[in-house]
Amino acid sequence: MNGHSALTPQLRRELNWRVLAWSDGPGYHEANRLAESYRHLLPKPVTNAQLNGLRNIAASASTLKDMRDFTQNQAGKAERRGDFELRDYWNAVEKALNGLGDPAGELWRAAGGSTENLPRNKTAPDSLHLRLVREFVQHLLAHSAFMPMQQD
Amino acid sequence: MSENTQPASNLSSEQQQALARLAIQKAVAQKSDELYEKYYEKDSSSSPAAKLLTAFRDAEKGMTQVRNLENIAYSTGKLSDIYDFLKKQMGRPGDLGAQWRREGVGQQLLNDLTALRKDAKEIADQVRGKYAAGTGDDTERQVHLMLCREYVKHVAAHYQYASKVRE
Repeated sequence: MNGHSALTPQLRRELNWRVLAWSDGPGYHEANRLAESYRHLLPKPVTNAQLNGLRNIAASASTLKDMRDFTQNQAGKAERRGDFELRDYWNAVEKALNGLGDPAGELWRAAGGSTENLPRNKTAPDSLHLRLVREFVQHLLAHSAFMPMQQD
Repeated sequence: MSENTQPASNLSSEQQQALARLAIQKAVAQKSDELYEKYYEKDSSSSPAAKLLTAFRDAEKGMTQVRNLENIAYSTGKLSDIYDFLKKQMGRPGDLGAQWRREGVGQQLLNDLTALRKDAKEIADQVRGKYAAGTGDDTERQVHLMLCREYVKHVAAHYQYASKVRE
């Protein structure tokens, strides 16, 4: 199952409020924590241009691979420049985004979603994982923009 | 509307849901009036709206920002969309970001809206105590969102009023 098109209306409703609640709760706090733990890299070398790139990719990505390609590319560029802290930042972002597969699986099960038609090693449809990625990235960017200004 | 006198255990799930909705609406309205009294009835000079008016010397520009905040609060299903909006505005480079940070107004709005969680929990707990089958896992968050909308509504109304009085 690739998308949400095959969901029943009830499952769609169940998933919807659970995603909103996740985004307001654990998703928001986890994204803020990640931004806080790399506070010293903001606004440089983690630049607005890079973060805007992440936002654009998150908004337009049709697969999780698109996200991975972006974060791995950023990490690779930083490593080639010898900026290992920046590389670690992008690796941490990638790990966090990949890790959203776990809450996606929990939300999917709690909403009553079946795991029968999912690919092996998947506990939720990629489309749900991708939705959590978008929520997470929104919070990460907002907090990353806000943090450097708190130091004023 | 008169209070229901039947024990909740005698009511169906649908009846409890309807009564829980009414109880939430009433409690949110009461809290909204308390927020109004706290900020705008007596000395409103320390209110978020007054601070916004000071921060945005161009009242029209400020009104656009306040309307944006109000639109987000009323169109979203997520509290974090409101928080993220405030954070992004405070984090903007240039004049706009500086205005949101002036007087600590953006931060106060963020703190006040976040703090409404405590009131939302109280309301949700009260209603759950009376109509357990009428509430769900998302009730507290929903009440919090309702309280945030009330708060933002007061800010927008007072900002508009005060900006015209100042002219």
